[in-house]
Amino acid sequence: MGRLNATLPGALLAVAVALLPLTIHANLGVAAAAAATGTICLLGLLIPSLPLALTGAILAEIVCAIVSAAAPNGESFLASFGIGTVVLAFLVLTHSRTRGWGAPVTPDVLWADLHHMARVLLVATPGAAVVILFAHPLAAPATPLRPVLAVAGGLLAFGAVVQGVIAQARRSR
Amino acid sequence: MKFRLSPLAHALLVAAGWAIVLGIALGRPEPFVAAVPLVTALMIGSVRCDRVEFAVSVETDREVAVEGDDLTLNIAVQASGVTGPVQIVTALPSLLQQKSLPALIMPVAGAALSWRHLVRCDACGVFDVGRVGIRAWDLSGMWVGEQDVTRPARVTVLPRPTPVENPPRPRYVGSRLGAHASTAVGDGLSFAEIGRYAPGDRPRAINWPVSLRRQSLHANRFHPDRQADVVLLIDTLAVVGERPNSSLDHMLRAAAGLAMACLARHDRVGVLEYGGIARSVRLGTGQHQAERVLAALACATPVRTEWVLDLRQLPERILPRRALVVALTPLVDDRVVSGLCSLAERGQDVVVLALDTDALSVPMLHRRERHPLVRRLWRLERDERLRTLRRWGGRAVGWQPDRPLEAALAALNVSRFGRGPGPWGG
Repeated sequence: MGRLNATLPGALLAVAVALLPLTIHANLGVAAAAAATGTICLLGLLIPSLPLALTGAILAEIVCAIVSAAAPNGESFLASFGIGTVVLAFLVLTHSRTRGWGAPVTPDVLWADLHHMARVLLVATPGAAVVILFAHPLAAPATPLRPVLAVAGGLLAFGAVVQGVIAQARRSR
Repeated sequence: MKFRLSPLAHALLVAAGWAIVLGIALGRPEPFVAAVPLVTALMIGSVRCDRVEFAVSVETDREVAVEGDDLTLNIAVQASGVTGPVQIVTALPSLLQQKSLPALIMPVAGAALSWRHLVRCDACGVFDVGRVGIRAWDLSGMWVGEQDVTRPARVTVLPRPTPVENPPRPRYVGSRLGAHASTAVGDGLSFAEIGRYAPGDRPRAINWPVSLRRQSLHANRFHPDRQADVVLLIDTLAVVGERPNSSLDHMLRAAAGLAMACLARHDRVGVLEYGGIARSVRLGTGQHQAERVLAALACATPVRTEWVLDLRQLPERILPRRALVVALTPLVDDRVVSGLCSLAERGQDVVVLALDTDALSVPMLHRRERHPLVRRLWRLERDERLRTLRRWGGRAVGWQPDRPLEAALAALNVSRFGRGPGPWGG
Protein backbone atom coordinates (compact mmCIF):
# COMPACT_ATOMS: atom_id res chain seq x y z
CA MET A 1 0.00 0.00 0.00
CA GLY A 2 1.50 3.35 -1.03
CA ARG A 3 1.55 6.36 1.22
CA LEU A 4 1.34 9.96 0.16
CA ASN A 5 3.46 12.11 2.41
CA ALA A 6 2.60 15.60 1.25
CA THR A 7 4.62 17.39 3.93
CA LEU A 8 7.96 17.66 2.14
CA PRO A 9 6.65 18.62 -1.32
CA GLY A 10 4.15 20.94 0.37
CA ALA A 11 6.93 22.64 2.36
CA LEU A 12 8.97 23.08 -0.83
CA LEU A 13 5.96 24.64 -2.53
CA ALA A 14 5.40 26.97 0.45
CA VAL A 15 9.03 28.10 0.17
CA ALA A 16 8.56 28.60 -3.58
CA VAL A 17 5.40 30.66 -2.97
CA ALA A 18 7.38 32.86 -0.60
CA LEU A 19 10.50 33.19 -2.78
CA LEU A 20 8.93 33.83 -6.20
CA PRO A 21 8.24 37.58 -5.56
CA LEU A 22 11.96 37.94 -4.77
CA THR A 23 12.79 36.89 -8.35
CA ILE A 24 10.89 39.94 -9.61
CA HIS A 25 12.58 42.46 -7.35
CA ALA A 26 14.67 41.73 -4.28
CA ASN A 27 14.92 44.14 -1.38
CA LEU A 28 14.56 44.02 2.41
CA GLY A 29 10.83 44.79 2.44
CA VAL A 30 10.04 42.08 -0.13
CA ALA A 31 12.20 39.62 1.82
CA ALA A 32 10.29 40.38 5.04
CA ALA A 33 6.96 39.96 3.25
CA ALA A 34 8.23 36.69 1.72
CA ALA A 35 9.23 35.43 5.15
CA ALA A 36 5.76 36.23 6.57
CA THR A 37 4.06 34.59 3.58
CA GLY A 38 6.21 31.48 3.83
CA THR A 39 5.53 31.15 7.57
CA ILE A 40 1.75 31.39 7.10
CA CYS A 41 1.83 28.90 4.22
CA LEU A 42 3.93 26.43 6.22
CA LEU A 43 1.59 26.72 9.20
CA GLY A 44 -1.39 26.13 6.92
CA LEU A 45 0.29 23.04 5.53
CA LEU A 46 1.45 21.59 8.82
CA ILE A 47 -1.72 22.15 10.90
CA PRO A 48 -3.24 21.41 8.21
CA SER A 49 -5.68 24.25 7.60
CA LEU A 50 -6.92 25.18 4.15
CA PRO A 51 -8.12 28.69 5.21
CA LEU A 52 -4.66 29.48 6.62
CA ALA A 53 -2.98 28.15 3.50
CA LEU A 54 -5.36 30.26 1.42
CA THR A 55 -4.44 33.34 3.48
CA GLY A 56 -0.79 32.67 2.77
CA ALA A 57 -1.52 32.19 -0.93
CA ILE A 58 -3.48 35.45 -1.15
CA LEU A 59 -0.70 37.28 0.71
CA ALA A 60 1.78 35.90 -1.85
CA GLU A 61 -0.43 37.14 -4.69
CA ILE A 62 -0.64 40.61 -3.13
CA VAL A 63 3.11 40.78 -2.58
CA CYS A 64 3.73 39.58 -6.12
CA ALA A 65 1.29 42.11 -7.59
CA ILE A 66 2.74 45.02 -5.59
CA VAL A 67 6.31 44.06 -6.41
CA SER A 68 5.41 43.74 -10.10
CA ALA A 69 3.82 47.18 -10.03
CA ALA A 70 6.80 48.73 -8.28
CA ALA A 71 9.50 46.81 -10.17
CA PRO A 72 11.77 49.00 -12.31
CA ASN A 73 12.55 46.23 -14.83
CA GLY A 74 9.24 46.01 -16.71
CA GLU A 75 6.63 43.24 -16.77
CA SER A 76 7.26 39.84 -15.13
CA PHE A 77 4.80 37.36 -16.69
CA LEU A 78 6.88 34.27 -16.09
CA ALA A 79 7.12 34.81 -12.31
CA SER A 80 3.40 35.60 -12.15
CA PHE A 81 2.50 32.42 -14.02
CA GLY A 82 4.86 30.59 -11.68
CA ILE A 83 3.08 32.08 -8.64
CA GLY A 84 -0.30 30.96 -10.00
CA THR A 85 0.95 27.43 -10.68
CA VAL A 86 2.73 27.07 -7.36
CA VAL A 87 -0.27 28.45 -5.44
CA LEU A 88 -2.52 25.93 -7.23
CA ALA A 89 -0.24 23.00 -6.42
CA PHE A 90 0.20 24.19 -2.83
CA LEU A 91 -3.56 24.48 -2.26
CA VAL A 92 -4.18 21.02 -3.79
CA LEU A 93 -1.52 19.48 -1.53
CA THR A 94 -2.88 21.20 1.58
CA HIS A 95 -6.36 20.00 0.64
CA SER A 96 -4.95 16.47 0.29
CA ARG A 97 -3.53 16.73 3.79
CA THR A 98 -6.77 18.09 5.27
CA ARG A 99 -8.88 15.32 3.79
CA GLY A 100 -6.44 12.53 4.55
CA TRP A 101 -5.15 13.60 7.99
CA GLY A 102 -2.03 11.58 7.30
CA ALA A 103 -4.06 8.53 6.32
CA PRO A 104 -2.60 5.98 3.91
CA VAL A 105 -3.29 6.72 0.27
CA THR A 106 -3.30 4.15 -2.47
CA PRO A 107 -1.02 4.82 -5.47
CA ASP A 108 -4.14 5.20 -7.65
CA VAL A 109 -5.13 8.30 -5.71
CA LEU A 110 -1.64 9.74 -6.08
CA TRP A 111 -1.64 9.13 -9.82
CA ALA A 112 -5.10 10.67 -10.19
CA ASP A 113 -3.95 13.86 -8.45
CA LEU A 114 -0.78 14.10 -10.55
CA HIS A 115 -2.74 13.43 -13.73
CA HIS A 116 -5.18 16.20 -12.88
CA MET A 117 -2.35 18.68 -12.16
CA ALA A 118 -0.64 17.83 -15.45
CA ARG A 119 -3.89 18.32 -17.34
CA VAL A 120 -4.43 21.71 -15.69
CA LEU A 121 -0.92 22.90 -16.56
CA LEU A 122 -1.28 21.66 -20.14
CA VAL A 123 -4.38 23.80 -20.61
CA ALA A 124 -3.16 26.71 -18.49
CA THR A 125 0.08 27.37 -20.43
CA PRO A 126 -1.55 28.38 -23.75
CA GLY A 127 -4.26 30.06 -21.68
CA ALA A 128 -1.63 32.21 -20.03
CA ALA A 129 -0.23 33.20 -23.42
CA VAL A 130 -3.67 34.33 -24.54
CA VAL A 131 -4.16 36.28 -21.31
CA ILE A 132 -0.81 38.05 -21.76
CA LEU A 133 -2.05 39.29 -25.15
CA PHE A 134 -5.30 40.65 -23.74
CA ALA A 135 -4.15 41.59 -20.24
CA HIS A 136 -3.69 45.32 -20.80
CA PRO A 137 -7.27 46.01 -21.90
CA LEU A 138 -8.50 43.88 -19.00
CA ALA A 139 -6.55 45.92 -16.49
CA ALA A 140 -7.72 49.30 -17.74
CA PRO A 141 -10.82 50.39 -15.86
CA ALA A 142 -11.01 53.97 -14.68
CA THR A 143 -8.67 54.90 -11.83
CA PRO A 144 -11.44 55.94 -9.34
CA LEU A 145 -12.90 52.43 -9.60
CA ARG A 146 -9.74 50.76 -8.30
CA PRO A 147 -10.08 51.51 -4.54
CA VAL A 148 -13.68 50.25 -4.69
CA LEU A 149 -12.54 47.03 -6.34
CA ALA A 150 -9.72 46.64 -3.83
CA VAL A 151 -12.11 47.02 -0.88
CA ALA A 152 -14.58 44.58 -2.51
CA GLY A 153 -11.78 42.07 -3.01
CA GLY A 154 -10.64 42.46 0.58
CA LEU A 155 -14.15 41.84 1.86
CA LEU A 156 -14.49 38.81 -0.44
CA ALA A 157 -11.29 37.31 0.89
CA PHE A 158 -12.15 38.06 4.50
CA GLY A 159 -15.59 36.49 4.07
CA ALA A 160 -14.12 33.40 2.45
CA VAL A 161 -11.55 32.94 5.20
CA VAL A 162 -14.21 33.37 7.92
CA GLN A 163 -16.46 30.88 6.13
CA GLY A 164 -13.57 28.43 5.92
CA VAL A 165 -12.76 28.78 9.62
CA ILE A 166 -16.45 28.26 10.56
CA ALA A 167 -16.69 25.19 8.30
CA GLN A 168 -13.56 23.69 9.85
CA ALA A 169 -14.85 24.34 13.37
CA ARG A 170 -18.13 22.58 12.48
CA ARG A 171 -16.29 19.61 11.05
CA SER A 172 -14.04 19.26 14.09
CA ARG A 173 -17.10 19.45 16.40
CA MET B 1 -24.81 10.39 -3.05
CA LYS B 2 -25.09 14.02 -4.05
CA PHE B 3 -21.98 16.05 -4.73
CA ARG B 4 -21.31 19.63 -3.56
CA LEU B 5 -18.42 22.05 -4.06
CA SER B 6 -15.40 21.03 -1.99
CA PRO B 7 -13.33 23.38 0.21
CA LEU B 8 -10.60 23.21 -2.46
CA ALA B 9 -12.97 24.70 -5.06
CA HIS B 10 -13.83 27.52 -2.66
CA ALA B 11 -10.16 28.17 -1.98
CA LEU B 12 -9.25 28.25 -5.68
CA LEU B 13 -12.22 30.52 -6.39
CA VAL B 14 -11.12 32.99 -3.74
CA ALA B 15 -7.46 32.89 -4.83
CA ALA B 16 -8.41 33.43 -8.48
CA GLY B 17 -10.85 36.19 -7.54
CA TRP B 18 -8.18 37.93 -5.53
CA ALA B 19 -5.71 37.79 -8.41
CA ILE B 20 -8.25 39.29 -10.83
CA VAL B 21 -9.27 42.03 -8.38
CA LEU B 22 -5.60 42.86 -7.76
CA GLY B 23 -4.99 43.06 -11.48
CA ILE B 24 -7.88 45.50 -11.92
CA ALA B 25 -7.07 47.49 -8.79
CA LEU B 26 -3.39 47.96 -9.62
CA GLY B 27 -3.92 48.20 -13.38
CA ARG B 28 -1.31 45.52 -14.04
CA PRO B 29 -1.54 42.43 -16.26
CA GLU B 30 0.66 40.16 -14.04
CA PRO B 31 -2.06 39.21 -11.53
CA PHE B 32 -4.28 38.10 -14.45
CA VAL B 33 -1.51 35.76 -15.59
CA ALA B 34 -1.20 34.43 -12.04
CA ALA B 35 -4.94 33.73 -12.05
CA VAL B 36 -4.77 31.60 -15.23
CA PRO B 37 -3.77 28.23 -13.65
CA LEU B 38 -6.33 28.70 -10.88
CA VAL B 39 -9.15 29.56 -13.28
CA THR B 40 -8.15 26.65 -15.55
CA ALA B 41 -8.30 24.20 -12.64
CA LEU B 42 -11.73 25.55 -11.72
CA MET B 43 -12.98 25.26 -15.30
CA ILE B 44 -11.73 21.68 -15.67
CA GLY B 45 -13.28 20.68 -12.36
CA SER B 46 -16.53 22.57 -12.93
CA VAL B 47 -18.30 19.60 -14.52
CA ARG B 48 -20.50 18.24 -11.76
CA CYS B 49 -20.13 14.58 -10.92
CA ASP B 50 -22.88 12.12 -11.79
CA ARG B 51 -24.93 10.73 -8.96
CA VAL B 52 -23.03 7.75 -7.57
CA GLU B 53 -24.35 5.17 -5.13
CA PHE B 54 -22.18 2.98 -2.96
CA ALA B 55 -23.01 -0.56 -1.88
CA VAL B 56 -21.36 -1.18 1.46
CA SER B 57 -20.94 -4.30 3.57
CA VAL B 58 -19.44 -4.35 7.06
CA GLU B 59 -18.09 -7.47 8.76
CA THR B 60 -16.03 -8.08 11.86
CA ASP B 61 -13.40 -10.78 12.19
CA ARG B 62 -15.26 -12.08 15.29
CA GLU B 63 -18.45 -11.35 17.16
CA VAL B 64 -17.04 -11.67 20.67
CA ALA B 65 -13.91 -9.98 21.97
CA VAL B 66 -12.36 -9.24 25.35
CA GLU B 67 -11.51 -5.81 26.74
CA GLY B 68 -8.19 -4.59 25.35
CA ASP B 69 -8.39 -6.81 22.27
CA ASP B 70 -8.00 -5.54 18.73
CA LEU B 71 -10.82 -6.14 16.27
CA THR B 72 -10.71 -5.94 12.51
CA LEU B 73 -13.59 -4.37 10.62
CA ASN B 74 -13.73 -5.47 7.01
CA ILE B 75 -15.55 -2.87 4.94
CA ALA B 76 -16.28 -3.61 1.29
CA VAL B 77 -17.38 -0.77 -1.00
CA GLN B 78 -18.76 -0.99 -4.51
CA ALA B 79 -19.38 2.22 -6.48
CA SER B 80 -22.10 2.37 -9.13
CA GLY B 81 -20.23 4.96 -11.21
CA VAL B 82 -16.88 6.63 -11.73
CA THR B 83 -15.57 8.75 -8.85
CA GLY B 84 -12.27 10.01 -7.56
CA PRO B 85 -10.79 9.07 -4.20
CA VAL B 86 -13.11 7.61 -1.58
CA GLN B 87 -12.62 7.83 2.16
CA ILE B 88 -14.24 5.29 4.46
CA VAL B 89 -14.92 6.59 7.96
CA THR B 90 -16.36 4.38 10.67
CA ALA B 91 -18.72 5.92 13.23
CA LEU B 92 -17.70 3.86 16.22
CA PRO B 93 -19.02 4.12 19.77
CA SER B 94 -16.73 6.11 22.05
CA LEU B 95 -15.58 2.98 23.89
CA LEU B 96 -14.17 1.48 20.70
CA GLN B 97 -11.11 3.26 19.45
CA GLN B 98 -10.08 3.29 15.84
CA LYS B 99 -6.40 2.45 15.52
CA SER B 100 -6.00 2.99 11.79
CA LEU B 101 -6.69 6.29 10.05
CA PRO B 102 -9.50 6.51 7.47
CA ALA B 103 -7.91 5.60 4.18
CA LEU B 104 -8.22 7.25 0.79
CA ILE B 105 -8.82 4.65 -1.90
CA MET B 106 -9.71 4.80 -5.56
CA PRO B 107 -12.70 2.60 -6.41
CA VAL B 108 -13.26 1.19 -9.86
CA ALA B 109 -16.83 1.44 -11.15
CA GLY B 110 -18.62 -1.87 -10.57
CA ALA B 111 -15.70 -3.52 -8.79
CA ALA B 112 -15.70 -4.10 -5.03
CA LEU B 113 -12.96 -2.64 -2.88
CA SER B 114 -12.32 -3.79 0.65
CA TRP B 115 -10.59 -2.00 3.48
CA ARG B 116 -9.64 -3.16 6.96
CA HIS B 117 -10.03 -0.95 10.00
CA LEU B 118 -8.25 -1.92 13.19
CA VAL B 119 -10.33 -1.18 16.29
CA ARG B 120 -9.29 -1.42 19.94
CA CYS B 121 -11.92 -2.39 22.51
CA ASP B 122 -11.39 -0.09 25.49
CA ALA B 123 -14.34 -1.26 27.61
CA CYS B 124 -16.86 -4.05 27.74
CA GLY B 125 -20.36 -3.78 26.30
CA VAL B 126 -22.43 -4.63 23.27
CA PHE B 127 -21.68 -2.29 20.40
CA ASP B 128 -23.09 -1.62 16.95
CA VAL B 129 -20.19 -1.17 14.56
CA GLY B 130 -22.12 -1.19 11.30
CA ARG B 131 -22.39 2.58 10.81
CA VAL B 132 -20.03 3.73 8.08
CA GLY B 133 -19.55 7.14 6.51
CA ILE B 134 -18.36 7.41 2.91
CA ARG B 135 -16.86 10.59 1.56
CA ALA B 136 -16.07 10.71 -2.15
CA TRP B 137 -14.41 13.33 -4.32
CA ASP B 138 -14.46 13.67 -8.07
CA LEU B 139 -11.21 13.27 -9.98
CA SER B 140 -10.43 17.00 -9.80
CA GLY B 141 -11.13 17.23 -6.06
CA MET B 142 -13.57 20.12 -6.67
CA TRP B 143 -16.70 18.17 -5.76
CA VAL B 144 -17.30 16.17 -2.64
CA GLY B 145 -20.21 14.00 -1.53
CA GLU B 146 -21.02 12.18 1.69
CA GLN B 147 -23.19 9.18 2.46
CA ASP B 148 -24.06 7.46 5.73
CA VAL B 149 -24.65 3.72 5.65
CA THR B 150 -25.79 1.49 8.50
CA ARG B 151 -25.37 -2.25 8.29
CA PRO B 152 -26.18 -4.83 10.97
CA ALA B 153 -22.86 -5.59 12.64
CA ARG B 154 -22.63 -6.09 16.38
CA VAL B 155 -19.71 -6.89 18.65
CA THR B 156 -19.89 -8.09 22.23
CA VAL B 157 -16.86 -7.05 24.26
CA LEU B 158 -16.52 -9.14 27.40
CA PRO B 159 -14.90 -7.76 30.56
CA ARG B 160 -11.33 -8.85 31.13
CA PRO B 161 -11.41 -10.88 34.37
CA THR B 162 -9.35 -9.57 37.28
CA PRO B 163 -7.10 -12.39 38.53
CA VAL B 164 -8.71 -13.95 41.62
CA GLU B 165 -7.24 -17.01 43.33
CA ASN B 166 -9.14 -17.08 46.60
CA PRO B 167 -12.76 -16.07 46.16
CA PRO B 168 -14.82 -15.59 49.34
CA ARG B 169 -15.65 -18.85 51.08
CA PRO B 170 -19.34 -19.55 51.51
CA ARG B 171 -20.97 -20.23 54.88
CA TYR B 172 -23.35 -22.77 53.41
CA VAL B 173 -22.64 -25.45 50.85
CA GLY B 174 -24.96 -27.39 48.59
CA SER B 175 -25.52 -31.10 48.17
CA ARG B 176 -23.49 -31.72 45.03
CA LEU B 177 -19.85 -32.60 44.83
CA GLY B 178 -17.58 -29.57 44.91
CA ALA B 179 -14.49 -28.02 46.41
CA HIS B 180 -15.78 -26.75 49.77
CA ALA B 181 -15.46 -28.85 52.90
CA SER B 182 -18.92 -29.31 54.37
CA THR B 183 -19.52 -29.13 58.11
CA ALA B 184 -21.06 -32.61 57.88
CA VAL B 185 -19.01 -35.79 58.18
CA GLY B 186 -18.71 -38.16 55.25
CA ASP B 187 -16.53 -38.92 52.24
CA GLY B 188 -14.06 -36.22 51.43
CA LEU B 189 -10.48 -35.11 51.64
CA SER B 190 -10.55 -32.73 54.62
CA PHE B 191 -9.93 -34.54 57.90
CA ALA B 192 -12.77 -34.07 60.43
CA GLU B 193 -12.36 -36.43 63.41
CA ILE B 194 -11.54 -39.97 64.59
CA GLY B 195 -14.46 -42.13 65.74
CA ARG B 196 -15.28 -45.73 66.55
CA TYR B 197 -15.44 -47.96 63.55
CA ALA B 198 -19.05 -48.46 62.56
CA PRO B 199 -20.65 -50.71 59.95
CA GLY B 200 -20.47 -48.91 56.64
CA ASP B 201 -17.07 -47.30 57.30
CA ARG B 202 -14.48 -48.08 54.68
CA PRO B 203 -11.75 -50.50 55.84
CA ARG B 204 -9.08 -48.20 54.40
CA ALA B 205 -10.32 -45.42 56.73
CA ILE B 206 -9.33 -47.46 59.82
CA ASN B 207 -6.74 -45.58 61.85
CA TRP B 208 -4.49 -48.47 62.90
CA PRO B 209 -2.25 -46.65 65.42
CA VAL B 210 -5.27 -45.32 67.34
CA SER B 211 -7.04 -48.69 67.07
CA LEU B 212 -4.00 -50.47 68.58
CA ARG B 213 -3.72 -47.97 71.42
CA ARG B 214 -7.46 -48.11 72.20
CA GLN B 215 -7.76 -51.87 71.60
CA SER B 216 -10.81 -51.28 69.37
CA LEU B 217 -11.25 -50.31 65.78
CA HIS B 218 -11.27 -46.58 65.11
CA ALA B 219 -11.70 -44.89 61.75
CA ASN B 220 -10.88 -41.47 60.33
CA ARG B 221 -13.85 -39.32 59.38
CA PHE B 222 -13.75 -36.61 56.71
CA HIS B 223 -15.72 -33.57 55.69
CA PRO B 224 -17.43 -34.20 52.37
CA ASP B 225 -16.48 -31.72 49.65
CA ARG B 226 -19.51 -29.92 48.34
CA GLN B 227 -20.19 -27.15 45.87
CA ALA B 228 -21.61 -23.75 46.76
CA ASP B 229 -24.05 -21.42 45.05
CA VAL B 230 -22.61 -17.96 44.38
CA VAL B 231 -24.72 -15.06 43.13
CA LEU B 232 -22.76 -12.04 41.90
CA LEU B 233 -24.83 -8.93 42.49
CA ILE B 234 -23.75 -5.97 40.36
CA ASP B 235 -24.94 -2.57 41.52
CA THR B 236 -25.83 -0.54 38.42
CA LEU B 237 -27.90 2.07 40.22
CA ALA B 238 -25.01 4.54 40.16
CA VAL B 239 -21.79 4.81 38.23
CA VAL B 240 -18.85 6.92 39.35
CA GLY B 241 -16.13 8.00 36.92
CA GLU B 242 -15.87 7.95 33.18
CA ARG B 243 -15.69 4.80 31.16
CA PRO B 244 -13.47 2.82 30.61
CA ASN B 245 -12.19 3.77 34.10
CA SER B 246 -15.52 3.97 35.86
CA SER B 247 -16.74 2.11 38.93
CA LEU B 248 -18.87 -0.08 36.64
CA ASP B 249 -15.83 -1.18 34.62
CA HIS B 250 -13.85 -2.08 37.75
CA MET B 251 -16.82 -3.96 39.19
CA LEU B 252 -17.46 -5.91 35.98
CA ARG B 253 -13.80 -6.95 35.72
CA ALA B 254 -13.82 -8.04 39.35
CA ALA B 255 -17.13 -9.88 38.89
CA ALA B 256 -15.72 -11.68 35.85
CA GLY B 257 -12.64 -12.71 37.86
CA LEU B 258 -14.77 -13.93 40.78
CA ALA B 259 -17.06 -15.85 38.44
CA MET B 260 -14.11 -17.58 36.77
CA ALA B 261 -12.54 -18.47 40.14
CA CYS B 262 -15.82 -19.83 41.53
CA LEU B 263 -16.55 -21.83 38.38
CA ALA B 264 -13.02 -23.24 38.51
CA ARG B 265 -13.80 -24.75 41.93
CA HIS B 266 -17.06 -26.19 40.51
CA ASP B 267 -19.43 -23.77 42.28
CA ARG B 268 -22.70 -22.82 40.70
CA VAL B 269 -22.52 -19.17 39.70
CA GLY B 270 -25.30 -16.74 38.80
CA VAL B 271 -25.46 -13.02 38.10
CA LEU B 272 -27.96 -10.44 39.25
CA GLU B 273 -27.92 -6.88 37.95
CA TYR B 274 -29.33 -4.60 40.62
CA GLY B 275 -30.44 -1.42 38.90
CA GLY B 276 -33.02 0.06 36.58
CA ILE B 277 -32.99 -3.10 34.51
CA ALA B 278 -33.12 -6.27 36.61
CA ARG B 279 -31.23 -8.80 34.50
CA SER B 280 -30.17 -12.11 35.88
CA VAL B 281 -28.41 -15.31 34.90
CA ARG B 282 -29.59 -18.48 36.59
CA LEU B 283 -27.14 -20.51 38.62
CA GLY B 284 -25.10 -22.96 36.67
CA THR B 285 -21.66 -24.39 36.26
CA GLY B 286 -19.25 -25.30 33.50
CA GLN B 287 -17.79 -23.59 30.45
CA HIS B 288 -21.15 -22.59 28.97
CA GLN B 289 -22.13 -20.93 32.23
CA ALA B 290 -18.86 -18.97 32.15
CA GLU B 291 -19.78 -17.70 28.70
CA ARG B 292 -23.31 -16.83 29.84
CA VAL B 293 -22.02 -14.95 32.88
CA LEU B 294 -19.47 -12.96 30.88
CA ALA B 295 -22.08 -12.09 28.24
CA ALA B 296 -24.48 -10.92 30.96
CA LEU B 297 -21.74 -8.79 32.53
CA ALA B 298 -21.00 -7.23 29.13
CA CYS B 299 -24.66 -6.18 28.89
CA ALA B 300 -24.70 -4.47 32.30
CA THR B 301 -25.93 -0.93 31.84
CA PRO B 302 -26.44 1.80 34.41
CA VAL B 303 -30.00 3.12 34.30
CA ARG B 304 -31.28 5.92 36.53
CA THR B 305 -34.47 4.80 38.18
CA GLU B 306 -36.70 5.37 41.16
CA TRP B 307 -37.83 1.75 41.05
CA VAL B 308 -35.65 -0.89 42.64
CA LEU B 309 -35.85 -4.60 42.88
CA ASP B 310 -36.97 -6.14 46.19
CA LEU B 311 -34.26 -8.74 46.66
CA ARG B 312 -36.35 -10.72 49.16
CA GLN B 313 -39.04 -11.30 46.54
CA LEU B 314 -36.68 -12.95 44.06
CA PRO B 315 -37.50 -16.57 43.21
CA GLU B 316 -35.40 -19.38 44.63
CA ARG B 317 -34.01 -20.32 41.20
CA ILE B 318 -32.36 -16.89 40.91
CA LEU B 319 -31.40 -16.25 44.52
CA PRO B 320 -31.44 -19.42 46.65
CA ARG B 321 -31.63 -18.95 50.41
CA ARG B 322 -28.31 -20.69 51.02
CA ALA B 323 -26.43 -18.99 48.22
CA LEU B 324 -23.47 -16.75 48.87
CA VAL B 325 -24.30 -13.25 47.58
CA VAL B 326 -21.19 -11.35 46.51
CA ALA B 327 -22.27 -7.76 45.99
CA LEU B 328 -20.02 -5.42 44.02
CA THR B 329 -21.03 -1.85 44.60
CA PRO B 330 -19.62 1.68 44.71
CA LEU B 331 -21.81 2.12 47.80
CA VAL B 332 -23.22 5.41 46.59
CA ASP B 333 -26.92 4.62 46.74
CA ASP B 334 -28.68 3.95 50.04
CA ARG B 335 -31.15 1.61 48.32
CA VAL B 336 -28.35 -0.92 47.76
CA VAL B 337 -27.46 -0.82 51.44
CA SER B 338 -31.07 -1.40 52.53
CA GLY B 339 -31.51 -4.21 49.96
CA LEU B 340 -28.37 -6.02 51.13
CA CYS B 341 -29.26 -5.48 54.80
CA SER B 342 -32.65 -7.08 54.17
CA LEU B 343 -30.89 -10.11 52.69
CA ALA B 344 -28.46 -10.37 55.60
CA GLU B 345 -31.36 -10.00 58.01
CA ARG B 346 -33.06 -13.12 56.67
CA GLY B 347 -29.84 -15.09 57.16
CA GLN B 348 -28.42 -14.91 53.65
CA ASP B 349 -24.64 -15.13 53.41
CA VAL B 350 -23.75 -11.67 52.07
CA VAL B 351 -20.28 -10.46 51.09
CA VAL B 352 -20.02 -6.82 50.04
CA LEU B 353 -17.05 -5.60 48.03
CA ALA B 354 -17.39 -1.82 48.25
CA LEU B 355 -15.34 -0.06 45.60
CA ASP B 356 -13.60 3.09 46.82
CA THR B 357 -14.65 5.65 44.22
CA ASP B 358 -12.73 8.61 45.61
CA ALA B 359 -9.98 8.52 42.99
CA LEU B 360 -12.41 7.67 40.17
CA SER B 361 -14.71 10.58 40.94
CA VAL B 362 -12.05 13.32 40.85
CA PRO B 363 -12.06 13.88 37.06
CA MET B 364 -15.85 14.29 37.13
CA LEU B 365 -16.01 16.78 39.98
CA HIS B 366 -16.28 20.54 39.80
CA ARG B 367 -13.64 22.64 41.51
CA ARG B 368 -15.67 23.15 44.68
CA GLU B 369 -16.60 19.49 44.95
CA ARG B 370 -12.93 18.54 44.85
CA HIS B 371 -12.37 20.30 48.13
CA PRO B 372 -10.82 17.86 50.64
CA LEU B 373 -13.59 18.59 53.13
CA VAL B 374 -16.32 17.54 50.67
CA ARG B 375 -14.50 14.35 49.80
CA ARG B 376 -13.89 13.60 53.45
CA LEU B 377 -17.62 13.91 54.10
CA TRP B 378 -18.33 11.48 51.30
CA ARG B 379 -15.78 9.05 52.73
CA LEU B 380 -17.47 9.30 56.12
CA GLU B 381 -20.85 8.56 54.51
CA ARG B 382 -19.37 5.56 52.78
CA ASP B 383 -17.76 4.27 55.98
CA GLU B 384 -21.10 4.64 57.74
CA ARG B 385 -22.79 2.51 55.06
CA LEU B 386 -20.08 -0.14 55.45
CA ARG B 387 -20.63 -0.16 59.21
CA THR B 388 -24.39 -0.52 58.68
CA LEU B 389 -23.85 -3.54 56.46
CA ARG B 390 -21.54 -5.17 59.01
CA ARG B 391 -24.02 -4.42 61.80
CA TRP B 392 -26.70 -6.35 59.91
CA GLY B 393 -24.44 -9.37 59.47
CA GLY B 394 -22.90 -8.81 56.07
CA ARG B 395 -19.22 -9.31 55.45
CA ALA B 396 -18.35 -5.92 54.02
CA VAL B 397 -14.92 -4.79 52.93
CA GLY B 398 -13.54 -1.75 51.14
CA TRP B 399 -11.70 -2.21 47.89
CA GLN B 400 -9.30 0.21 46.20
CA PRO B 401 -9.49 0.10 42.38
CA ASP B 402 -5.72 0.54 42.02
CA ARG B 403 -4.91 -2.38 44.33
CA PRO B 404 -5.33 -6.11 43.68
CA LEU B 405 -8.75 -7.51 44.48
CA GLU B 406 -7.01 -10.33 46.34
CA ALA B 407 -5.98 -7.86 49.05
CA ALA B 408 -9.63 -6.98 49.72
CA LEU B 409 -10.68 -10.63 49.62
CA ALA B 410 -7.93 -11.57 52.09
CA ALA B 411 -9.33 -8.96 54.49
CA LEU B 412 -12.61 -10.85 54.57
CA ASN B 413 -10.74 -13.44 56.63
CA VAL B 414 -13.42 -16.08 56.57
CA SER B 415 -12.85 -19.04 58.87
CA ARG B 416 -12.43 -22.43 57.25
CA PHE B 417 -16.00 -23.63 57.61
CA GLY B 418 -17.52 -20.18 57.56
CA ARG B 419 -18.86 -20.41 61.08
CA GLY B 420 -17.49 -17.26 62.61
CA PRO B 421 -17.48 -13.84 61.11
CA GLY B 422 -14.00 -12.92 62.37
CA PRO B 423 -12.66 -9.41 61.97
CA TRP B 424 -14.23 -8.12 58.79
CA GLY B 425 -11.40 -5.84 57.86
CA GLY B 426 -12.04 -2.91 55.55
